[in-house]
Order: sequence, then C-alpha cells, then structure tokens
Amino acid sequence: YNFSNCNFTSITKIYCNIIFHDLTGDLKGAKFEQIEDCESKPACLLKIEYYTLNPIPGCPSLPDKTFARRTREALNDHCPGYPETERNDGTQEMAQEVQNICLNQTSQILRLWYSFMQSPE
Amino acid sequence: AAAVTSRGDVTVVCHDLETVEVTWGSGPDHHGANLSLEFRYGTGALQPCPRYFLSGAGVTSGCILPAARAGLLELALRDGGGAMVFKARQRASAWLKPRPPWNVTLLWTPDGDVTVSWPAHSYLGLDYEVQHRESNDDEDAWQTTSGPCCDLTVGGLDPARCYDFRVRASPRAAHYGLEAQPSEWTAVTRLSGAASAASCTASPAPSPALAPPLLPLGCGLAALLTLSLLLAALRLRRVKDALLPCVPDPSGSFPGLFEKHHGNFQAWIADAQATAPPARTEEEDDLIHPKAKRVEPEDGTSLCTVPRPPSFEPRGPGGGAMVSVGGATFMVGDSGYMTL
Repeated sequence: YNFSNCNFTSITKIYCNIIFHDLTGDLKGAKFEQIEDCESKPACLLKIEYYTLNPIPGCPSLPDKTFARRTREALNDHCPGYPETERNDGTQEMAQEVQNICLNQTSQILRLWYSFMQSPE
Repeated sequence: AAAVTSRGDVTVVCHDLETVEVTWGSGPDHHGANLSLEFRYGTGALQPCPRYFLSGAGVTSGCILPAARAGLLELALRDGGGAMVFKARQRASAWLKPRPPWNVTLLWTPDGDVTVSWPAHSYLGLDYEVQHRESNDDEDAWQTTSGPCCDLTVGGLDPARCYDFRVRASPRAAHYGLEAQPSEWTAVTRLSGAASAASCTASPAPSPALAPPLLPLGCGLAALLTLSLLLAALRLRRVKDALLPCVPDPSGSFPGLFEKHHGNFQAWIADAQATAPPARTEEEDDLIHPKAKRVEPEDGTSLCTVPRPPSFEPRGPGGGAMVSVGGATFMVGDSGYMTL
C-alpha cells in the first residue's frame, strides 16, 4: 500500500488536534537524534505507519499507546483501501519494556510527522 | 540513536530557512580554546564551517552555514583536542526563526474594524500574531489576535482613538517542533481613524532618532558657553591676580638700581657709597655715647680697630672684594658682578 490516495487534509487535522499532543505528552521533552526522514506525504505516512504499528525489541507496548491507536484509526478512515492487518504482539524476547527505547521510538515517529507536515503531497 | 548532546551555551537558529547560525559561549569546559564545527546534510561527508565569527578574546564563538529545507542536518562541535562538545541531527527547520512580516498594511473597515494584511512567507506552517494597544498605553497593554496567513481583522476599536500595531510570525509547533521560535516583532505602526488624524500626530511617541542629532549640538553649546565665561573671568584683575603667580619686584629692595643705573650694580654701589652719611665727629660721639676711659691691655695690643677705606677692603673667599653698604656686606667678583 503506497498511501497516495489518502485524504491528507483530514489526516493533518487529526494529527494537529490529537496525535501531536499525545506524542509530545509521552516524550515529556526528551530529545534524540533523528534517524529517518521523508520527502513526501505518502512516503512519510509509509514510515509513520511502519514505526508506529510494529512492536520493536524493548518496546512491545508501542502499538497499544494512545497515539498509535489514533494513527491506525486515521489511516483506516482516510486512506481508501488501507489494509487493517493483524499485528504480531511480539515474542517473548520483546516482552521487556525499556523506557529509553520507547522514548527514542516515539521521538522518531514525532519527527516523521514534522516531515509529513512540511512535505508536499 | 544517541540522545542529542546538549550544552546550555550552544544555540542554533535557522533564519528564515536560509542560513543556520550556531553560537557557543566561552564555557568552562574548553577554557576559552577554539571550537571547530563540522556539518553535513544527509549522508554526505562532514564539511568544515564555511564562516566562523570570533569573540572579543579572538577565539571562535559561532558559525554560519547554509540551510536546506529537506534532509537531516548533522552538527558536530569539537574542542581543540577533538572531543565532542555538541552534537545534533535533525532537520534544519526544527530550529526555525522566521523573518518578521514585511509590507504590513492597516486599513479601517466601514464597521470600525482594522484589517491587517501582509505577504506570505515562502514556506508554510506559520501562524501570525497581531498586537494592538491604545497609543501611549503601557508596554504591557498589548492585546493579541492570532491567525493564519495572510490577513487578520481586529475588531472593537474606536476610530476616534489612536492605536499602535505590530505583527510577528510564529512557527506552528505541530509543523516544526518545540525548538522553533517566533520572529521578532515588526516596528510599531500608529493608526488613527480619519477624524482623529490630528490627535495622533499631536502627541506622537518620542522618536529615538531625534535624540542623537540634538545631543552633540547641546554639548557643543555648553562647551562654547563655558569657554566664553572662562575668558571673561580671566580679564578680571582679581581673578588674574588669584590665578597667576606673583613675581617679586626687586626694585623695592634696591632703590635706584634699575631706574637710575639700569641694573648696573657696580655703579649703584659707587653711587650708594658717595651718598653715605659722613663719619661722625668726636663731639657727636660724646653726645650720643659718653666717652669711656681708654684702657690699654697689658700686652700692649690695642682693643680698638680703625675701619679701612673701601679700596682696602679685605678679599673674600672667592677672591672678590667685600663691600659693605648700609650695613649689608656684598662680595664683588673680579668680573664686576655681585654675588650674595
């Protein structure tokens, strides 16, 4: 799925009014170097979806966070044809939560949203 | 990814998405040594700072480099020993500070509102703040109206009054993050309704531009007046006598030396001797002092000494003749000059 047919205006409103505040609330001012960037709105949504809805070692709970659920809802509602697939809840080695890993991942996601907002469609 | 290395004295500002300015203070960690900055966008090679600026101590205190609107900017600040002092990697726009709005236009509407408009910046994600206050109000009396580009309407104003307006651009946090900062305010613009134009101009805000030209003129006039008074005071005899040292006049001690003999001391001495009173006769001595019985010493030497004439005066230690005039004794050198 390439996210080209998404309603970017609606997704922008949801991000500005809800998701942005959830992300900054979780971060509480923590700063990390930015790893990923993107140059267009479809490309940014592709990375945002990947980093938000897939658990990673040290942060299996990320897909269950508030901002993640709202991101999933926005994509489902405003990206025609977006497949809502079942996600792996993580294996045993992912069970342990590491705060710094979760914060870093959240920071990367927020910066991808910044790039989404600054990028053309 | 590592957390951003943070120093309290390192500041990064992206001016209008055109240049990035990195400044650092002379922190205690590097003891005033030169710091060096390298940067890159994306995965390119690190490049040295293209333009440093120096502090008063002659060490680097900042760097200016070009800004790119896309791609990740990596900054690496190191001390003289190569140790990392500051490191960051994010879009340059995360440090955005827009330029102030320009060509701002203020117009009264028929409803008594004021429409404020300005041209758009070359990038999105900005909100604008328009502040207004009644003219001559306190500095803190500004009221704010916010909104998107490129015009805002301020309502509830009285066309009979005078108002001050200023505008600035503010990056949206959801677009650029929390490190972006608003622009400076525009210069204050004064606005009045058509009927109250005279009252606005009657009491304009004091312009700082008027102060500098008047100050040198006032100082010059004060200096000129002081000099005039000083010159006038010097003309007064009392002031002159008080300020100027008194030179003693020798004519009082040597009457006739300068007036009659033009400073010729030899002639003055000769004249003084000629006018000396004659020696007293024996009768005059009896009248003044009773004559005592003369007693001769037993060894035959005389107790009295008869004074010799001037031509037989004894010689002084320097070889000059000793001259006594009026009770004062002087030595006249071989050259004819008097020495005291």
